[in-house]
Amino acid sequence: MLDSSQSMERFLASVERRAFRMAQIATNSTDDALDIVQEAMLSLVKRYGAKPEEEWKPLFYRILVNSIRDWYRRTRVRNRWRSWIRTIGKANDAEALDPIESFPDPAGHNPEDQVIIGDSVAALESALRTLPPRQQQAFLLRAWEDLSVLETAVVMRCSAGSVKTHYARAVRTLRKLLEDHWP
Amino acid sequence: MTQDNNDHESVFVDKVRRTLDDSAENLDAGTLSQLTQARHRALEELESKPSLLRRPFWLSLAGLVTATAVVFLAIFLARDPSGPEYYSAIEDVEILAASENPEFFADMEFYAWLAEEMDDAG
Repeated sequence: MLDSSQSMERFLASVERRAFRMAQIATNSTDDALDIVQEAMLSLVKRYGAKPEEEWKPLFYRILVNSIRDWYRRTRVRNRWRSWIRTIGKANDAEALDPIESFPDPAGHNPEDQVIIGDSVAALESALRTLPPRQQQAFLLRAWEDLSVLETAVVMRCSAGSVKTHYARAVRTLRKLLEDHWP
Repeated sequence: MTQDNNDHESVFVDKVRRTLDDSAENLDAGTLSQLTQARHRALEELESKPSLLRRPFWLSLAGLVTATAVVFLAIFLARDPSGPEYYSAIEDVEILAASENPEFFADMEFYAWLAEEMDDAG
């Protein structure tokens, strides 16, 4: 049990910072990102701790991606109900603003503004947040986590072809948004 | 896609990777401390086996909460048909009321899908 515990600690320590940043970019919230990473760690340990060590990475990221997806769903549902409740009693109201429409960057940062500021990290984050969630995940898993196409497909529960499409579109969009900054 | 474009893409992705690596390496002390605590809490879980009786109790409670919420919402929506679609509302309540992560329930579906994917790949 001690060896297993030490191996798990090494593994979690090796992925926790990147996992946190992935969740933070997705949610634009430090607290939510910490909650998601903690939940992913607990879930991996409880459900897959006995699995071979080489399987932990794709399993961990599958849990993380699922947790982020659940966060999107819960946030979308809460926002939809909040919007609906706000509109009750307002006669002839125009169609309520769908919070999801502005979801990719809730802070309202414009990537081009960030580029002008010259903060490459902020510009990159802002650009990543403009991507649809699936493109953002495919890009980060492939480009940053260095998962293969098949591993990414397993994590995202989609076909390898979808991963390639999401990734290619993400790269195209990011290059366009950041072209002045990173030619 | 041309070789030149591939080279540019590779340079671009490397730059993104380095920037993200830097941001992960330079997290503030407070965040690092919370990540360490989260890791330790997870490892404590590894060394303490949960009670086998606990899960059915919580699952039952989650089911009761969900059922109560659905009944309440159905009555509420019946009085105001201008609200969101009924079936969508039920799904919403299930999402919000579930005490268990939804992916827990998707395991069977996932493993069936994974087996198909591996067959296709291999």
